[in-house]
Amino acid sequence: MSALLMIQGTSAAAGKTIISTALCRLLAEKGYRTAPFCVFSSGEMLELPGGGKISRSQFMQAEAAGVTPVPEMNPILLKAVSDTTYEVIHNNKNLGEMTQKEFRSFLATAFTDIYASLAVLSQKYDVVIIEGVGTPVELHKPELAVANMRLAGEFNIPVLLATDIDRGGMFAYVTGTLALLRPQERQLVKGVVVNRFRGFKDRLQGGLKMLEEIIQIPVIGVLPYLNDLSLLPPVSAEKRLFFYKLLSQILRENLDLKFIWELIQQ
Amino acid sequence: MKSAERKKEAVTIMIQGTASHVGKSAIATALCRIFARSGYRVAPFKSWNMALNSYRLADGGEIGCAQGEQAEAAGIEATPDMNPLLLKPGASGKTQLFVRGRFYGYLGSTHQSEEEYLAFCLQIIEESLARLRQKYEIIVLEGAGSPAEINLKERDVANMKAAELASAPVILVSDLSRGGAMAAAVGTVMLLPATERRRVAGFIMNKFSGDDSFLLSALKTVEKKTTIPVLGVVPYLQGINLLEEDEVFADLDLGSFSGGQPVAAEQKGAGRFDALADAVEKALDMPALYSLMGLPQGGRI
Repeated sequence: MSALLMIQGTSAAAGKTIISTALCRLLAEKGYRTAPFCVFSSGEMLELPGGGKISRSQFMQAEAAGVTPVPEMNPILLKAVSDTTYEVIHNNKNLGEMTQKEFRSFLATAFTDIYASLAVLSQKYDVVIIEGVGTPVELHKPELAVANMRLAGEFNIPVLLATDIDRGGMFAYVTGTLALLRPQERQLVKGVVVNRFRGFKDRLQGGLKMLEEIIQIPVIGVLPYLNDLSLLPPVSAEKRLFFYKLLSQILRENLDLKFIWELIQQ
Repeated sequence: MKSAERKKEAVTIMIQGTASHVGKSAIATALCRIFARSGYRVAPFKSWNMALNSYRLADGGEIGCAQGEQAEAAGIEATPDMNPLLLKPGASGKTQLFVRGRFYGYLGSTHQSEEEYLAFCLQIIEESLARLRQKYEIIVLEGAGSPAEINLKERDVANMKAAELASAPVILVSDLSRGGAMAAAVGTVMLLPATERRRVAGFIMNKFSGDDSFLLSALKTVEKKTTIPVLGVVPYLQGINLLEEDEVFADLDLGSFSGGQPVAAEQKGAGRFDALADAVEKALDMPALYSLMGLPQGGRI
């Protein structure tokens, strides 16, 4: 069984995708056979060479890790039909449209199946980088639990919490997210990664120290403004590779790598 | 004596947010409109604003875009007192400080020390606020960013310090569309010192869309954790509650930088303000809001 590491966010678009991509590259460069995983994704999907589809995010992460993307990396794909309806594709099978309510009951039954996909990856790779969906404390969207803390709890996966400092309120988002987690869920959160920081790091240090004292969890890195750029074809393979290397370099310079290696080796 | 004084000074209410772009400006605009059409003389106020663009006053001065719009929603002419401190970052890396609409100097060079600068800011805020409170019956204050930036607390004259100067109850707006709204509401309150926490009289959950089966129980959890009531859930209003305070880098993450060009006055009819006001009025517990402001239920007319 491989090492598992999960990235969850304090908001949507906190940078989970890009941080996961960077971690995939970093671990691959370190010599780990690394695969990405995300329970469900919405948005742009890409056809796989071997058949089936996968979300743009996991495709990019697989490419960054230098492995062939496979459908198991993204067992459920969602296409938003309206505010409350999705078209659901599960293991390449189109299940048609579901309301949010129907999707919730589907997830309850598909649970074992979904996690079987992770087990497949876990046998083939040294590390699986798992990207969460939304936030782990969307109390009004219980369907997200399957893609966040229910998964983490099931496999006892260490979680890094990514947070976007650019929009303001970062300290509150982190503190509040941890406050709304159940104790056994909170215990899985091993570190906080601050994303999209622009400014002088020195001036942030005091605030981060205060935060660490409040939450009793270390801030393991402050990343510059990283955004989920659209770097798939038509962008050339050469440019994409350059970008993945750059992401890995950014982690090397801004993240407590020793912390990451220890998490992987546990 | 005391009641005569109270009659003269405007009642205050303040809208703060858990982050930038949660919809503070839109909610404040809606409140200005709601109170104005109930027959109150209402004025907007934002003590401190950082933005690339500004609203041009009749006398040529500059204030924040949102306060200009809010004055229009309130049916009054915007004045420099409504946003007495405006910071405009320039391309040179220097930030221009505008005091009551006029260029005052470059940030960092106007005063001998940070303390002097902050004391100056607070004095300007207090004077402008006092003038507005003499002239109007209700002041709708708007904060900037989040009041829980623990690393900037001392320097933050836009949120809780302004609330204190205005003796204003604070309504905290959180953005459901972005995710983490419940966490942000709970976390913001947790990070405030007790005296500031007591000012927070309610939450507004903004930009709601989707399935609401679990919304009520989620809100109950927030209320239980904070002992602060949720005063309303405002739906995601395409095109109208997207009106945002024009902060720096507002739209960068969307890949387009449209800034906040103020729309020409004739283009924004009263209808837009009314649609926004209608939606917010319907979503909020207005009796609770009037009651915490000490006003008669249902406004005056």
